[in-house]
Amino acid sequence: MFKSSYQRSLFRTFLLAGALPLVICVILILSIFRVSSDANTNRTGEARIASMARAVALFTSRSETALNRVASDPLIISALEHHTPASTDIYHSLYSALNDIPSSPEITVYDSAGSLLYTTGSGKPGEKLPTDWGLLSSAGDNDSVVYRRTSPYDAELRSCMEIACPVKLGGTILGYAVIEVSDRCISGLLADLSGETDYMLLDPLWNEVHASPFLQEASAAEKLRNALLHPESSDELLDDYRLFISRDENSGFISVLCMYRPLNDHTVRVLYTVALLSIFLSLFLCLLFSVRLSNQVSKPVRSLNEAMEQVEQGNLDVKLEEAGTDELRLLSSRFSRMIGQLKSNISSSIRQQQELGETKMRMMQAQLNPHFLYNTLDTMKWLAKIHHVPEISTISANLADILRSSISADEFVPLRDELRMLERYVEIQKIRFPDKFKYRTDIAEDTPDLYIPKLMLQPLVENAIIHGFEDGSSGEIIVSSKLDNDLLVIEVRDTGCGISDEMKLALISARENTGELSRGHLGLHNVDAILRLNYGEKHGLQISDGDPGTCIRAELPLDRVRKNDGREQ
Amino acid sequence: MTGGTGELLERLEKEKAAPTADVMFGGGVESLLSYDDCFEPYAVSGAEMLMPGLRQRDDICTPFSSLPSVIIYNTRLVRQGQIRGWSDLFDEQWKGRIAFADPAVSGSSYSAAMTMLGALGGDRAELLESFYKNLDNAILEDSGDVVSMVDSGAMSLGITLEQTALKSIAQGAKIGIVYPEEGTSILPDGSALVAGAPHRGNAVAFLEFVLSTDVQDKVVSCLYRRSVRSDVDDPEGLLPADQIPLIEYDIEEASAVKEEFLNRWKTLGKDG
Repeated sequence: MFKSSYQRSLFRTFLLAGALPLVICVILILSIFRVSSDANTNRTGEARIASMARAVALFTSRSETALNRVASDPLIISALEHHTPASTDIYHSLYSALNDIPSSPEITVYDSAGSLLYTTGSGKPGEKLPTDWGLLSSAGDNDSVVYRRTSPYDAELRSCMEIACPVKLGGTILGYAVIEVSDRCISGLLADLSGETDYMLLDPLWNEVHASPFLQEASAAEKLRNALLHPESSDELLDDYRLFISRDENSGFISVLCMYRPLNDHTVRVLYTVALLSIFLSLFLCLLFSVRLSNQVSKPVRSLNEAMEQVEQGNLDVKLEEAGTDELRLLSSRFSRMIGQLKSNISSSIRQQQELGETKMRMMQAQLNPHFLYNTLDTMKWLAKIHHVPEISTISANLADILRSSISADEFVPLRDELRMLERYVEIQKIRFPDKFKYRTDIAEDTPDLYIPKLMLQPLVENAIIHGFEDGSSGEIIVSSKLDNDLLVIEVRDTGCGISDEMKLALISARENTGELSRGHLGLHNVDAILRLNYGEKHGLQISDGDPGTCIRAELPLDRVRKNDGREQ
Repeated sequence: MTGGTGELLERLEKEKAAPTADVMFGGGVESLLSYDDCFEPYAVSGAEMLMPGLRQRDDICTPFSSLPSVIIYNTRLVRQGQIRGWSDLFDEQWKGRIAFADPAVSGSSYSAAMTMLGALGGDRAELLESFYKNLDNAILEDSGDVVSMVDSGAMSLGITLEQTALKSIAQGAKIGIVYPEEGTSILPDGSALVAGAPHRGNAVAFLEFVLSTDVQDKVVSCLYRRSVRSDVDDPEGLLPADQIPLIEYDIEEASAVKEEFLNRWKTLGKDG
């Protein structure tokens, strides 16, 4: 899923920082919301069912009192006994019995045959109720107050609930007193609840006696009954409600209060879906941002990494795309610069190696079979002495000295030794070119012990002898050394004809075109190359007009000179 | 806007300079007359068809329906014919069983009391005191409770407007109506044109409308009220208006003594 571990850890971080708090928050809020709203619903519902139960209990207990009062009223008993027609006195006692019952139900008195005698309601005298079954039969059998839901098939349907008790005289049933409770009556009784809550009054068999309009229309009582009979079935209507149930002790009737759940299952599902969607969205965003951010960082890092690998394998020609954030762009460009630097360093180092190699090759060529030459020269010296030719003896001895010195493996020698060797060389050249030049040295006191590259001075002096006086003039050659600040300054000056511009240019061009040394000035170039190799580019030979003649100057940094010195020792 | 008669009239009084209302609809004519300076006299086109005696002073207001004060009784507790008139209300037999609304609260209750005192004749103060005693402190706060108290048998008799009783009977109340033999009063409620009404044209059209034969027919058939028009028959089965024993009810006087009456009423309450 992820290209890199960096991406993974970024994603993890985002997930922890972004999605996790969201998830926790959502779960907590939903739970708290649900718990508190449930608690609220419970509190309200319990308070309301309690008040409903109180109202129902008050109503039933007062109704029982009223019925008992009517059943034991001598006036009513005597009226039933003698079938007295309705009188204001009878009604007076009926009404006064009803007086205490809240929301004024109606009372009806039936004779023992179930024929209506007196009623405060709208029934007509003579109307009949069966006594062998139903309400009156049950009241007679039980000899107590009974409660009935009025059959919904009752043609009159004056009431929804009836409360009856028998009127007896010495064990004989004279008649029945029945309180008729209408829907209007119950609505009045529960007026405090209506409008705020839906409620039902059910008989002990969970049949609807009375229900607030909404529940009545939804046949909630029937659904509740079904739910009780078939607990496994679920009903959408009932699921949306929290039911509070209370059973009236007098009547056995059941008060049901339905509180609409602010968070019913459907709402909760919607809430959880929304929460889940937002969590998914945040996961997606985490993923997206981690991929994008890591690409932003890891892409340049990857290409940097690839470039480094290329460099490792020796390819210095890698090209880095400079993209990404500022810091990484900086890193890339620095890397590019570094590679460039490395490349130029390596090529210059290769060039130096080549130069050094060529120089050494030439020197070795020059050293070819030196022992044979040296021995030969020695033989020549002794032959010359035997034959009394002092010049040849001197030349041979000097040449042998020079050869010996050049054979030695030392790369650096003290200036003093170099000067001695130079004197041998000059002595030979003086024999070759008698009276052509004078040679003198001007050596500062503290310089003879300093080490310089071997055979550094001889080519310079040779150059002065050959080129300084090539027009046939004569002059002086002065070799001087001194300390100037950090430099050991060595000069070879001649008072000859001076150096041509052409030659100066040749030297400069020889430096630039590595390996292309002009034949005529091989010695000079060698010295120049050796100096530059050993002391740095700045420390090559400097050629200037000596007025008259030429001055060739070498400035050797003292720290390097001393280092060579140390190395040699 | 809607409100009680007194409340609306007070508002009209307050807004007299710049009225926002066009018509005052409903309210006893006696109340309307006492605020006569808020209204502009207007005679509707059918004014000559009004019942005799209902046309108001200067046509300040137009009567809408006739509302006689009546005695009602619970048919189970009182035999038919047992109650004949106002004098029966003084019978000890009914002590504490008469539903009567506080006249300080109910205008119709006050009118009924004044009618009763006028019909019986004699010393009003004495009559009032003995009537008050027979009420036995059972004085209702709301005139609307009179009918339901009688219907539920809590009270045997009651004093209310004919129209209120008829409405309850239509809804199944078991009560009967007695037009007192000593005579009663028919107090119309009315409507009046507000002086300086912003939409006078519409207001006049409305007054003509409510007094039209069509509307007056509806008054009879839907509101159980008696029409104020002589050419519209009273509700069916109702005692014809000309058979109701009537007394002369002096609206102006009734307004004048109202305060004195209520003071006395309060005193009776304290003494009792």
